[in-house]
Amino acid sequence: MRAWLMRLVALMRRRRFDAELSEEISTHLDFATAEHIAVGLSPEAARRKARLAFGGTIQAQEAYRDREGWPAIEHLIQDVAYAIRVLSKRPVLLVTTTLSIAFGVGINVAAYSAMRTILFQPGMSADAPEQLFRLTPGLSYPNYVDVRAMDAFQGLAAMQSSTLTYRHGDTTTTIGARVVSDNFFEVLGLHAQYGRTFGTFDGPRTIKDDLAIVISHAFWLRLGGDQTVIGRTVYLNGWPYVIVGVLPRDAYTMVFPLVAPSAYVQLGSRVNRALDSRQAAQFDIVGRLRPDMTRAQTAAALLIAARDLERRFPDANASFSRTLSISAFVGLIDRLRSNGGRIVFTLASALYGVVGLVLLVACANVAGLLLARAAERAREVSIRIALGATRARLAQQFLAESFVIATVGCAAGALSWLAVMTVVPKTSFMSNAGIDLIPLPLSLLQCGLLVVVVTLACGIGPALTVRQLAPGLPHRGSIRGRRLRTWSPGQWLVVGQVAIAFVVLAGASSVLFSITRQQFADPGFDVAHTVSIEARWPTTSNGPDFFALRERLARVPGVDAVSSGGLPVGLIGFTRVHKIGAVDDEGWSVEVNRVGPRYLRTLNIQLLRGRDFSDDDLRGGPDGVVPIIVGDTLARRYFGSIDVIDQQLMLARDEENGTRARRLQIVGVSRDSRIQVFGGDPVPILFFPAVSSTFAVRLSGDPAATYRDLERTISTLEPGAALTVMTMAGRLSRVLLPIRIAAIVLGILGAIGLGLAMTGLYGVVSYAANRRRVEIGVRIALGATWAKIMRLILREAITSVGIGSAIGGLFSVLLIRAIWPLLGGQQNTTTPLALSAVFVLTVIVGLAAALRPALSAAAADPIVVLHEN
Amino acid sequence: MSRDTADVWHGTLDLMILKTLDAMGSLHGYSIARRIEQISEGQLSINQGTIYPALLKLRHRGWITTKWGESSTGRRVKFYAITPRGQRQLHDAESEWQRATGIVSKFVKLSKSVP
Repeated sequence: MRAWLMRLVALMRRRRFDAELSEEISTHLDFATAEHIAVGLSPEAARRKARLAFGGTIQAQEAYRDREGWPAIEHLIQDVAYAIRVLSKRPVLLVTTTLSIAFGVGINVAAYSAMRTILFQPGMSADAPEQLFRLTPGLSYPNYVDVRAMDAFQGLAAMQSSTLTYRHGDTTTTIGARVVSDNFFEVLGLHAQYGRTFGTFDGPRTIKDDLAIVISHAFWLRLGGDQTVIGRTVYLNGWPYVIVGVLPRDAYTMVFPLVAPSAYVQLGSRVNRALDSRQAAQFDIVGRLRPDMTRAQTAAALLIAARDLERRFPDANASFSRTLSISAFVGLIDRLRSNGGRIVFTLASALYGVVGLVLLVACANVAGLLLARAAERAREVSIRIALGATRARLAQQFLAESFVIATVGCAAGALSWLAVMTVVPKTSFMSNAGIDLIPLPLSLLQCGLLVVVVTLACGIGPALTVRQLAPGLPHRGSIRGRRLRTWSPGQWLVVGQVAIAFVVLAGASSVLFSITRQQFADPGFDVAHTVSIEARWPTTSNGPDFFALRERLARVPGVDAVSSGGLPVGLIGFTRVHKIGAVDDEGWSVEVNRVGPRYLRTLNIQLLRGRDFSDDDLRGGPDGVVPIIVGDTLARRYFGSIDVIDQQLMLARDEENGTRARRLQIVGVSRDSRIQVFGGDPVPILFFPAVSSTFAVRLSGDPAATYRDLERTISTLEPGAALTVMTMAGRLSRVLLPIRIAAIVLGILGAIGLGLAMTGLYGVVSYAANRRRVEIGVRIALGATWAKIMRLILREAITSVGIGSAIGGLFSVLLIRAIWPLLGGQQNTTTPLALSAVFVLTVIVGLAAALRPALSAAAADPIVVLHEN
Repeated sequence: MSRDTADVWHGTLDLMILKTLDAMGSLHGYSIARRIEQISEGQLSINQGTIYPALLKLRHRGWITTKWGESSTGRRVKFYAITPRGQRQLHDAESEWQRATGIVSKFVKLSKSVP
């Protein structure tokens, strides 16, 4: 132990210790010389004798050093320093390899944190989360109050995800919020970092909880991030609220993984208008177990409560006791038991498997490049072995190189992930959505482990090649003219990489193709002269009357027509309808769009038969029959050639909302919109007469000039309204935005994948070409032409790329076939085009990657090559 | 370390250094080498350079300490001195050495007259 410490000190103060030793030795020699002079020798002879008696000074110093420091560590440091020097002289190699690793590590870290959150996080920041249970399904407010009064739990809290309007200055936007019961923070045991939470007293209470909000750390930072934020008044949903507390940075109350709301408000009529409804099961419920009851006892108590509520309110609580259950927040096992849990687990493991594979592929890439380098350096290494270098030391040098690459790559990967996690929450998209991302910290131990794993994965192969080398002249074995036709593992890796890159690229390009095609297609409604106004009224009022607002808007100069409703397309709001009398069949899934009077005329959608909605339709037809307009796809697909006007449909009973089945009567047929996000046939669509807080306005002039007038008109009627005005074209591209982003991300991933595959190909081809140097030299000497040699080398590369593309193509077709219908499209006509484009790209890039090693192999001078051996 | 065992005298060099320091008090490197040569009456000629790694080893084990000081000629030198732990070790090593040499000398004295 003591010796270890001394060695460690010596290691760090090597220069001083060396100087001291030199001084000691020279003193020693001087003393000896002086003694010899004293007995009569000449100074020269005395010096010589002293040196002879001492022995080799260098040897003494070496022996001393071997004892003094830690030679193994010093060698390691030397090797790493040497590796850094060598690699910095080969910037291309360094950059390609570290980028490979950085990419692999970056997406692994991201996937790891996502998976850890999904699978292993309790989903709530709380004290003793193992005692927390979630009630599924959620409860309505009156049911919650009744269940809470039963005292089956130590505490039972209700919460609801919501968005609130947030006014700052002249503008009003929305923020993500959690509407929570008064005991929410108490049940969770969650404390504020600054200020207080609800239900906690700190001195005289000046602000009542229902006028107070607690904000997230991220929102606090957005408000300035200082102590003065506490006590500040903010306007949410038109009401003034006082900020009383700020939660800690890592506090999360799970909505989605890694996502937290900006503000917590207490539930009440300001933020929720359906508190009285026993049918609206809108609250998520979290309960803490009583210390004197087990989970099973609690479940039994809950069952009694549910039966009681079912008996007292049979209309609202049908089959309540049958469906109500509790599930733990923690515990992978609990979550795996549920169906959804299994699916999430499967998806998460699949994701993790894929990204793990990508990291492996990236490591294999680096290994391939280093192997190629090892082959290039075989001569140098053999000479060094002959000069007495131990193989272990040489292997350590190779490992040091991959250690440097792994360290730089891991650091770059982790840092870029951190950068993404820091930048993303600050984008306007995220702040508009009102959500905060919570990054997961990586521990140093994990980083260290990652570096070790990556180092070994990259370096073990190249390091092992040292073992095969004989001292002196290298590569006697390969001179035998053995044709290396058997495929190396590296080649199979390239095939796999090409296949993976192909699948990702194919997915990206087929989405991009179908989006691009739509941009040039006629959408089927006027996007150039219509704007959409999305309004959120503060809960201080009910919002202005639709008819009055319509009249005001119509009087704005440049406005041609006003109606209610958003885009005529979307990917949400599906429901099922039946033909009358056919209750047993499953019905058809149709998209439902709620629009106001004269909607078709306002958006310039062609009316094929019948009529547009009128003001009277809002009141419903006789006997409660609702007049509807259907798209021509629905008419053709479900009614064939019969005249659909006055035909009736039944709306499937919505069990969850408890609404009654309604009878619908077709009064008009519209031309379908041509916008189909996933290509293929248009989706059957049904228009339902209703007014909403989204307005469609048709303008005769320039839309932008009228924006301010429209906003001002609404604001004079309702000052606290949060308004989003944009052209229908803008709204349309916003609907397509997530898909476009997905396509771009896929494209980037695919391009990086292809880049990785090509670096791998480059490595494998140069390695193979290098190993076949002698064979190629003999061939050239025997008269093979340049073209023949090129063909010989490129053939292998093309075979790898070809097989990889074929496998990738097959998987792409299968995947697209399987996934497209899930996303709402039927068939994608652009797929073959996209696949061929990807194939051509892959082959060209593959050829380009193999070209350089092939050229250098074909340019070899046979005399030089044969002379070397 | 392999060199230690390769040379027979290296095994005993530690013992000699400790014994010298024990007998003479603190000394610098050159005088330790000279004392060993003098005590052996010139029969033992060591490579003087080898005592420095040996001194370092003894210091690592905590058997000797070092201290910079001035020689009789006023030159800055490093003095080595034995520690109490070193003295205990010396005692152990001495008796071990006696035992070992005793056994070996019995073998050496064995005559050819086997009964």
